[in-house]
Amino acid sequence: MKKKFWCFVLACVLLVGTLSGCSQSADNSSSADSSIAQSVEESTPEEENSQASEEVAGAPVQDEPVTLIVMKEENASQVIKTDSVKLQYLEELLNIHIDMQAVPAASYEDKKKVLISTDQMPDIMKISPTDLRSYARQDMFVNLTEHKDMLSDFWPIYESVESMAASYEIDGSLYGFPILSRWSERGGQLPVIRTDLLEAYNLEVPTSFEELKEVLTVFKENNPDLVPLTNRKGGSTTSTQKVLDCMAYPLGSGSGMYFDEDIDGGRWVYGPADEHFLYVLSYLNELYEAGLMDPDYATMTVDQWKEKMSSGQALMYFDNAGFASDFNVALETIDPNYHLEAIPTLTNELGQTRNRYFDQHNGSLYVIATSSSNQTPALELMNWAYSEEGCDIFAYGKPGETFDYVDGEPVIRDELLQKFNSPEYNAPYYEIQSYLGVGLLDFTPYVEDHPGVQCRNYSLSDEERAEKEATDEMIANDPGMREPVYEPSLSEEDTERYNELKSTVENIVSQEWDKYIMGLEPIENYRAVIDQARATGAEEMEQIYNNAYKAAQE
Amino acid sequence: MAKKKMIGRSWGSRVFSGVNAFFLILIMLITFYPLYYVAITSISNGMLVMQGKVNLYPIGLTLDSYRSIMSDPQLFQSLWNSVVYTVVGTTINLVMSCLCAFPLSRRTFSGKRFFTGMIVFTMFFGGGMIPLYLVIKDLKMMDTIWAVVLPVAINTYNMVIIRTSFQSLPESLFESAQLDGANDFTILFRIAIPLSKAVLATMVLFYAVSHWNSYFNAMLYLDSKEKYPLQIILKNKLISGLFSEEASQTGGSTNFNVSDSTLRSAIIMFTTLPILIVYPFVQKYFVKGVMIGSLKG
Amino acid sequence: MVKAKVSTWQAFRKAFARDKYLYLMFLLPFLFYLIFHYLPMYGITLAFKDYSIKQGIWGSDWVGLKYIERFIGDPYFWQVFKNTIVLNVYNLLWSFPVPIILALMLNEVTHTKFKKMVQTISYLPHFLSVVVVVGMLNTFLSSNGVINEFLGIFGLGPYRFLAEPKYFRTVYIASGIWQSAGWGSIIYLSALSAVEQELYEAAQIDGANRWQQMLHVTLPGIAPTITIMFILETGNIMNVSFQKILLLMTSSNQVISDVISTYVYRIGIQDANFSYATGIGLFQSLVALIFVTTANFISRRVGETSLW
Repeated sequence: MKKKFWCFVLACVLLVGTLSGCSQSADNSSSADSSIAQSVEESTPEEENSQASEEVAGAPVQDEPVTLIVMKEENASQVIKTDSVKLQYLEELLNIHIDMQAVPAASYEDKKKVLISTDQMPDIMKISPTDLRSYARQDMFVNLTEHKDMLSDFWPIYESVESMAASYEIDGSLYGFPILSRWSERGGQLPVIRTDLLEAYNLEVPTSFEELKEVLTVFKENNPDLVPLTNRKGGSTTSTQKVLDCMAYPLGSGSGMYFDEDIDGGRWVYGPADEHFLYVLSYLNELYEAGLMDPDYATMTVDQWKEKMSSGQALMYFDNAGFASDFNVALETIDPNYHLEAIPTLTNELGQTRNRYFDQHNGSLYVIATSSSNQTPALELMNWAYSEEGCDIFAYGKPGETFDYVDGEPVIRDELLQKFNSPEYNAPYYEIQSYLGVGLLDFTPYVEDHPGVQCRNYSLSDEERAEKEATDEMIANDPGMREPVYEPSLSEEDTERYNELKSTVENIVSQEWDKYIMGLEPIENYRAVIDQARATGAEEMEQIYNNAYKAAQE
Repeated sequence: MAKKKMIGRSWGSRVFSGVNAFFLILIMLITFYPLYYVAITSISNGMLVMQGKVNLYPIGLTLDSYRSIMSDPQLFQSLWNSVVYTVVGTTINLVMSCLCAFPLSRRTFSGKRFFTGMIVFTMFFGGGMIPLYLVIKDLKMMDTIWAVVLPVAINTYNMVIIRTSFQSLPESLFESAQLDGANDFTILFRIAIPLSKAVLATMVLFYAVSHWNSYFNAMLYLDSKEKYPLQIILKNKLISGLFSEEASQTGGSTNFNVSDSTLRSAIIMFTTLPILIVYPFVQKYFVKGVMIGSLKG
Repeated sequence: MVKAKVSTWQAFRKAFARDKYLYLMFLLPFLFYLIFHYLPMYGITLAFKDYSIKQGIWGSDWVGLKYIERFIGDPYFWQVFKNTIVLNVYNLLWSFPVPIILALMLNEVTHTKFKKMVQTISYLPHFLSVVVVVGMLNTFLSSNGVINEFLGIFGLGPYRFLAEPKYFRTVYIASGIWQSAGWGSIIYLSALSAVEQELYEAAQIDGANRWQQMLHVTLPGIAPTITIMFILETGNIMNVSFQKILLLMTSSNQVISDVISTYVYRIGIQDANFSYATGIGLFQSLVALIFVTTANFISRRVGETSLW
């Protein structure tokens, strides 16, 4: 008995010994591999360097090899390869080795905060606009306004985005490269409805929220067991918040601080503390009491939402229209007639026909650390990424190998599309971008959606493609769709005051919504909540925003 | 209780066993089904799972979810890393915890209360992430295995349990050993540890599972992807279903043999299986003890 | 006075000579706690400073009680504070005894294979991630879920288990028990294995039945473990399963479900304020310390076991 136990312990110790030995040797071999790889790579660029730089005009070729550490989050859908076509080509072309540190998206927030807070930032790092506002004043990021003369490609593009400067510049200076779009598909949170049912019941496509209610009533009468309208939970918000984020603005108010073009010729309003919010609550309440809204709307998760939409249990959602194509694939396996489609903006009770596009530009930023010893190459690289040539390479990979210029426009090579559209690839759209190292989900400061669209269209039939294009066109030309408005940049004291008020006011209003939607309280009583929220800080929050907005406009 | 006394002893004993077994079977059922559900969804067709059709047995058998996990080029490297971190980490944990628990369990050890207080204090107060990160950086442990295993070398909670177990050993044993000329190290390794096998086996399990499941320290202190443990890679896949808004904005159609839920199930199976395999080896140490008790009783 | 000092010094030297191996043994663990726990503790000062990254923690400016006053003066903070305490007290009352009962039940099983099977299966839920557990809760507890359909047979419901605040604590605690009771029983099972056989034999000779044996032999045998576990648990009075709450929280049950950690999380997200978060963390630690000290004090007075 005793012996056995000691044998076990001994075995453990031995195992550990061998394991640590192995892991060391494994380390050694891998480092040896990489050094071989490096020497191979080092020998190639020198031969091709002169030739390559002739090919690509304005490329910031470095005299000495430079290594830049770039950190961004890695979305599980698209693996960030450290040896993607793009990164290899950039090294060959520019003599800049980009050491990609891809942190899993689920943990990125923590890692980012700790690295910034301990002053251990990598050379280039992706951050959110919120981070920019929190840390820029602490001298963490290189001030780009001071290096404006070096940024001849980036600056004009940045300035051409309307009102972005007013939102992103902190005390008059820009501290990061916003991720912009050379071209992107338009999308938004739209009403997406089972159009096959509209036909089946001889209904017109609804044009107002009133008509939508009638349509959903017919849906419900014919399918008493199904859910006419469903919804989901947001990434970090509750389901109710998500419903409001999608529907409050079209219904005539807003789910948080938002810009209302229809009040006083346009001003910032804190939606839940504004009387127009009653329209939102009363409409949702009518839907809920008539059984048209999901009885579980307040607790819906993403999984449940997907399940209901793709099994035909729910007949409509009001959210990101991009999901419709995925649901349609699933629905068609049940009945080829089933079909979800986005419909044009609905008119609300106030007579407004309005909704918002998603921001064309991603809006997150790449910042350069003030602690970086390679600021100049980093600035040059980032600036070049916004040039025509740079953008082509950042978005399409290597010219002549992964893409060609057809009539002056870059186009991904057919053989590549063919290869990735074979059945062995589960998600061609992501895998091709992962292989190339391109797209919004990789290190791409100036984004170009064409390669993604090209890849997606490759697998569609002509009919499907025509339909998809018709939908895209409908969304792009919908007169009710408005451009998003950037939040104004606040001063340091205002930021602190605003955040403090915001958390107080949010806590007051958010607990109340469901009582009114579920009909536990008469709608009129919400006026008392509005008064309380305004008195506690909503009024002041609006003032802070409007003053800052006006100041920036002038 | 009064009733039981009145009924004959063997009969009461039988009823007792019957009721006991009934409840245990009930417990078994409600704890088993969810993992069974995870197991069957992991090998079912993603679309059918999404449509809520898979409940009692797998439908549309496919291993695509597992294939999708395996397709990650990082997977086997990270699996190996996880094994190394777990084995090295658990060994360090066990040695350090015993070295810490034994002195604190001795009645004669002067300063015992002071040291215990000092240790318990750390269960509630800590400096937070920033200073710890700087300490680890100054120790030059960044991006090495040591940053993953050393900061958690002793779990105070587990250490206290070991100490309690040492404390329950009769002091007379130690005294007689001391009279025979044994020093404290000999007593620890020859008497205290062998007599506390059951608890130590439990601690091996607790420590190993916590290393196996941990990702936070690794995420914070490791920079190179090739050093990541399995959990970092899988956790991203596991919860990405909730955060893939950015990815789906342009809407790339995917193959529906795999869905969020089947992938998630496959990941859970993949990470849980190694523990299920190791468990019986550890279990026998404490079940044996209990078994002897009940057989005689 | 001087004499007394000398004699303590001598006593200390004597004790040191006697325990030199114990001190040697304790050296490594002591260093561990010093380096990884006490060295970083200067970070606590952040609660009283405005953290400036470039100046570091030492160099940042003192702001006194600015952040402490901010949350103490926020009525909503007291709401989440109350929610945290109430949730955890209920959790302690309901969740703590279950693993002990389970271990005792298992201990009474004579059929080895059956016992092993129950044990192995009962700890399985421990390995499910929170995301999955909450996903299952959502499925089972939705308006057309299994539970509501079952209750519907008796003409009850449907209940909005997840949306209404009054059910929140039940759902949170019950699912917690389901997930961790089996795993928690492992520690008691291992303690049970150390109970001496002679005691059972003696009890049998005295004519004790199985129930009586359980009460008078088994329970006292594992009492020290139970006490220690209880004291340790009281130390968790301010901790909650953060991710689970975040996933279960809806705006409709927020009034009950919002706890300190979710509150801090929202503030952290908004303005990345480490000082504020540290301040609240410090407050939480103090409350937990008070609870543990009290539990330890009572246990030392009443029983013989104590944490320190």
